[in-house]
Amino acid sequence: MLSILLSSCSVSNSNGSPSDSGLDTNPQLMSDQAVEPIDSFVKCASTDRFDLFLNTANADFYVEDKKTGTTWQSNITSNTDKGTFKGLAKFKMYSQIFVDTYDKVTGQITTVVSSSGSVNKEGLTIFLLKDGFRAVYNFPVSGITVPMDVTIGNDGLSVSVDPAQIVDKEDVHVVGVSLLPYFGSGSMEDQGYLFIPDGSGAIINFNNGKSAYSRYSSYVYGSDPAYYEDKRPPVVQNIKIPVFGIKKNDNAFLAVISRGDASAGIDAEVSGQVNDQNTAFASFVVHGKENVVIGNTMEGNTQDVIKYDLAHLLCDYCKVDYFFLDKEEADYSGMAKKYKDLLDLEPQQDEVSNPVSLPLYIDLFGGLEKNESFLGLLTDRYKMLTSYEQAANIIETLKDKGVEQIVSTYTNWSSDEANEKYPRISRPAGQLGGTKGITELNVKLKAMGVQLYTSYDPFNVRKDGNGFLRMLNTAKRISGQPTTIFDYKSSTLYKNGQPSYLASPQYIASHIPVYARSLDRIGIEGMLLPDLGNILYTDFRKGRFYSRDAMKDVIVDAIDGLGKNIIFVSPNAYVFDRATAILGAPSTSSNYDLIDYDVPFYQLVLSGDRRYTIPCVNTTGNIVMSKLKALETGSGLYFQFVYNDPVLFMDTRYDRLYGTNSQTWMDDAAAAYHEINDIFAQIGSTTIVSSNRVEDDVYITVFDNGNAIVVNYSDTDSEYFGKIVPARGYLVSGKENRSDAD
Amino acid sequence: MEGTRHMKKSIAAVSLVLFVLVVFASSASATNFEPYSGYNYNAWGTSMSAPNGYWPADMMDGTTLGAGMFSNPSDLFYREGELYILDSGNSRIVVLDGTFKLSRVIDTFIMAGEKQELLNPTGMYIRSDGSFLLCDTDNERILDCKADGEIKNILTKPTDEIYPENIAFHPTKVIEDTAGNIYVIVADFYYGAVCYNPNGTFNSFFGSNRVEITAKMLFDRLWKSILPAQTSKYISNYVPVNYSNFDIDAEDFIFTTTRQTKNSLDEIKKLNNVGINILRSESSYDTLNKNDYGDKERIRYKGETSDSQFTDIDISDDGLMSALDFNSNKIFQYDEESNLLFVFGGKGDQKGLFKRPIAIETIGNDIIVLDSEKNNLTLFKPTEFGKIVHRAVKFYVDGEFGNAVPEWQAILKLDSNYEPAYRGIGKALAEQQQYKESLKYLKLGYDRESYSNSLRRVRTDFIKDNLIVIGVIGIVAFLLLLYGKKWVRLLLHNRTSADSGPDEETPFQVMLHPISGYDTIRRTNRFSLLLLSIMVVALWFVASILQRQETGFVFNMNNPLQLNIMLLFTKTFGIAILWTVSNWGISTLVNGEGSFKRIWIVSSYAILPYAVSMIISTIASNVTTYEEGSLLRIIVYIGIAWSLFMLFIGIKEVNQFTFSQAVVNVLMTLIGMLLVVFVIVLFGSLVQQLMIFISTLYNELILRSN
Repeated sequence: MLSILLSSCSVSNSNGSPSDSGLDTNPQLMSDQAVEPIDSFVKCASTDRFDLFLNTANADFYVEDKKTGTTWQSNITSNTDKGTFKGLAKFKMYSQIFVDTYDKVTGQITTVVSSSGSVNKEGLTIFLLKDGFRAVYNFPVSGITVPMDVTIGNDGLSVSVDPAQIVDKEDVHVVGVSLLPYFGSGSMEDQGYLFIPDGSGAIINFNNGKSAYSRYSSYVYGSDPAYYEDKRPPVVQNIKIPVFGIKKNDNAFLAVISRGDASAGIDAEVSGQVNDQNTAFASFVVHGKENVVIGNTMEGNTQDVIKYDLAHLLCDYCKVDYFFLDKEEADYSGMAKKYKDLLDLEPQQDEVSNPVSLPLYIDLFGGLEKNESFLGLLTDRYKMLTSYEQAANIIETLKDKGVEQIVSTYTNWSSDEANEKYPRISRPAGQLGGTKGITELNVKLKAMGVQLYTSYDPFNVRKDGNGFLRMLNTAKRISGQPTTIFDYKSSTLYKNGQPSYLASPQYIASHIPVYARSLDRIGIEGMLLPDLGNILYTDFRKGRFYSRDAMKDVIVDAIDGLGKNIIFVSPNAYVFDRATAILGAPSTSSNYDLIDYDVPFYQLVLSGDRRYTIPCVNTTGNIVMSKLKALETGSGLYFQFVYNDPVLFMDTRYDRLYGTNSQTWMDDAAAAYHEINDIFAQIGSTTIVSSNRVEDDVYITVFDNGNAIVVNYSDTDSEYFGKIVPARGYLVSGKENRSDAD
Repeated sequence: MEGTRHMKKSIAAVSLVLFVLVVFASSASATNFEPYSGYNYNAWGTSMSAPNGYWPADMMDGTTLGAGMFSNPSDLFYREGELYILDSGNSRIVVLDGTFKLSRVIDTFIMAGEKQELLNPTGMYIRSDGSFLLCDTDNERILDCKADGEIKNILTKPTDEIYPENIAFHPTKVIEDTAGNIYVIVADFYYGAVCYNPNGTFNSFFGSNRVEITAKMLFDRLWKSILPAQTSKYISNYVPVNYSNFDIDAEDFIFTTTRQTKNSLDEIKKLNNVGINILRSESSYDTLNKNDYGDKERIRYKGETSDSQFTDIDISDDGLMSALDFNSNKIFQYDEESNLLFVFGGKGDQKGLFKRPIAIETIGNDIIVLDSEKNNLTLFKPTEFGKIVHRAVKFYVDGEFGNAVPEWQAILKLDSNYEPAYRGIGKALAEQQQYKESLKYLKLGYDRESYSNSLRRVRTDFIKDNLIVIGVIGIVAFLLLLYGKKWVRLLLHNRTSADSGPDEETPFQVMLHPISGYDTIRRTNRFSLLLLSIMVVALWFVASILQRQETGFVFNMNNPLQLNIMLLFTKTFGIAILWTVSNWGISTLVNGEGSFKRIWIVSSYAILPYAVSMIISTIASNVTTYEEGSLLRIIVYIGIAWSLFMLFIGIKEVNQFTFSQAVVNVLMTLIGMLLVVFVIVLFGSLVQQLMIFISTLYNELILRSN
């Protein structure tokens, strides 16, 4: 029996990375015959760097790094278990997969785990693949079957599930899967941390004593607007990059959700929460569901009904690649570097032409329709915040203040944006100066060496018009209602006012090129896409279903063909490649209770290849902290300005732009620009390569030339290698200094 | 490159050493991320976005403090640089020093050499010498302890006869004033706080009107003696105030919070030494919802109304009141004059959000909140914006308007929605006699009184500067008044004489000569009359809109953005029709002579004086000051009186009633109107119920079918 296993398990010489295998085609079976179960580890596949050992009796496996001798275990096995836990807490640790099932008859949602639900009930069958194996888990109680493929490549390990191959029972459906939940998990004895890409990135230390708090669980790219809410969820930072990692003692891995990322979520837990393990893993939603409230929502006699869309697969392929990092690379900076290598962004030449200084990013706001009382009637009247001429005036003033490099974006500059109609073609607002005005502005800015990016936002549509009909062209939820995004009252958190209607992905994709061509006519080469790089939703309309993954693909394709320079605001990773620059890169995590500290992972991935800024300085209101953050992360500064008194925003949906008065802010903006660029000049670079936390509120960032900056956010002075880092200040540290200290 | 590698190693080494420390150090985040979005209420009680005034700087739990996990902690107290945490589930008091490091733990409470067990203690008061009072709630007693936990004295349920015997004595919160009087809040006890003398004997109840209490208690006793026990039980439940918590400031003012109040007002009170609430902000700048603390916007969702339920309050050294809302898990901070400064916090799993916040303390301007479900403390610090607001408020409260101006300007730079800043600047401008400039600011700041003062100055200046023009206009107006009537009559006659002769039947003519006018109407029957009458009601409708929307800032108490045109339409046309229908019905019954059309015409005509007076007062209100407000009212009163007179005469004439018949007719008509309204409302609600039923049924059918 052993010989069968070994002979069919040929040593592979392919040098593909894990992401190669199965990207286009699913892994093929070596033989249709199942492998006999043997309760011990046997080598099952091998590459130049890794060996994969498998226990065919229970699908436990481990990867051995031949270079370092490190092993990575698929889950806790009876060998490593100390036997402290019983029941589900124990069986979870022993499992390679969790499966969420929905019973149509009882309406119940149950999670079954592979060890107790399948392996212990003799439901496991193993087949061999070219570089690994396929474990087919049959869950006899619920009657479902889920196959999972595990393969190795030269960089690491891949695990995948093809939802099309899942076999449901008549009434029991698989609605979600979690892959390798305890792969590489850390125990109470291990030192290390979990890295989660929440916002800028965050670290959860192993055994951090926060077991009384909630686990971390968050959707990649944020939650789906198709799952509509009456009440606003708390303010969070979304996951923008589909990765997570575990650092365990001297080693680490980075896991990349390479397929099905838009329907995936990332979970993390520390010891004491479920069992004694610290782990992070990916889970995938296979079928979408909607919670519908039946009855009068004001009264108590309502009923929540969960309705699943069982007709479509939300996720057409679920795949996670694990890349193993060792020694100096085994930390979150190393994870960022690995992901950066995988992304392989083509550096933006013109944007990164001056490596020791960063431009000042100015976003201007044109105008809006404001509902107000006029001669006894409530009417929508146009309010001008910044005309095209005033826009030029602001930029000129900044130039006069010595700001050499400026990038200017322009929001709500068109009449459709102000009217909240679908932006079919670009139509400069007559009130702001019309086509003539915008052309003149563009010419003026070009002469000053400033590129203009005008905004395009198809997600801010509240009225019919321009060929867009809300009832016809909007994406649909499972319940058949149009997909919308509501504004919420800050006080009650309850939805408020007219929602914006989200056009079907197809509609958006087919209309972007038309819009871009209309920009050509007025000579504008740059586009600001505030939300196109980060809003994804499922269109459940019958006959033209679009999953989030499918939407992601059509949007990316549509953007690719535009031939414009594009600035995104805080986008997801899949458009990094298409960005000229990125505004408002997340500078923190959501600060979940479980999180220990934030790290600038997002910035580490982009640095050197794309310019990015911290979140808008003047609406966050703390210029000192903003400057420190810019220095720590190699970010540019970003301000939002209006020319006229922003008191006009009162009583409008835009009342959050309360700190945008350019008259009061321009001096600060220019001074901050000079200040940070002087420091970057002193450092000699703006490209960051690694980051580390020195102590609470004190971080060190190393730049590509070896120089570093220590930033102290706290209210008290700190010390670094014998030198004072002043409170709310920084210390530039040449590489010589630290070498001496070393 | 060699350097880079070298350096990396050293960083790695440093971080490894520090790693061990990190586990035990509190987890502070480098930058401010607030998981809540700030807001404040404008004068209309509508929420507006605002920058956050506080950010969650740190989160501490028993484990990170090295004291072992807290269990259901229930109270906080800050005194002399030390923070006391009442860790109820573990029957101990954990004391932290000024830097939030564990200082000591008080967990043995000894009385005469004998160790006393605590049972669910929920409140404590720390004296400046470290000795303290502790509500040992479920043991029904209050312990007076020395700093080390040795018990000096035990306070128990008062035996005084005015103390209701049948209510269990569960003391939850305790404070002491400078004279040593002890105040205790008892759970489910509605007579106010229980007050003890410094020596521990029962004194009285505090915080509700004594006389009322006595009367009520007498009443209770009376009924109790008459009614059977089962019924009398419910009587004692009919009681108004149940304080949830309190705090005492340096001047012995006691600040109380209440979970629920009548009309959701006065959730926070500031009681003087005789228990009278002196925190009545009648002069506040809120147009609506004065004295409404916590959230002013409420929603009803799934059968529950969201309203603030305060569970704790703390008064800072600067007099700022920070109250903790148990329902929304938010903190509301007010200045001394109960202006809302900031709202922050909320429900959730993030730093700065809570699951069951139970106690709040301020340390300087920092705020600490205790969460009894998360078993942790959250430290909030003022943001840059928060610091500026605190400075401005301090200047303002101290009356230094001028010094406050740069602060207000700095606030507007960060928050152009901030009403108090406009107010502050406006007041300072007025002080510098820049009245014209001040108007814009005072209007944005909803300071009607100061606006009125500035307006008077501006008006006086205007009259001074334009004396000649005003004089000319005055002379013209005088001439018009003398001869205008003649001219108008000539004009009207020229227009109408061709077909109607000298009859007085246009609304204006009838207005001036009602009796003869109505007589003419009774005898003629022309379409133009109907048209004119509809125009009069339309004028009334327009005048109502104008009055609501365009009344001068000083007098307009309606939010122009909440105009409900249908409501105004109903209030004008609807009422006119309703009146006519009702009156016609009644008149027909008593053989009145008026036809439906005639009754409509005379009734509509009668409205004209009222509509005209509304328009005049609306226009005048834009240049009128507070003091002259009565003039505006008089104009409208004259209009109403005139209209009522015309209506009465009209009804009387058109139906050929005697005086007394007419009076009875009018009264009957009013009753008839009420009946019709009642039927409409009944029908409307039935239709609404039916609609809800149908939509629910539809949803069920659609969604349940898989």
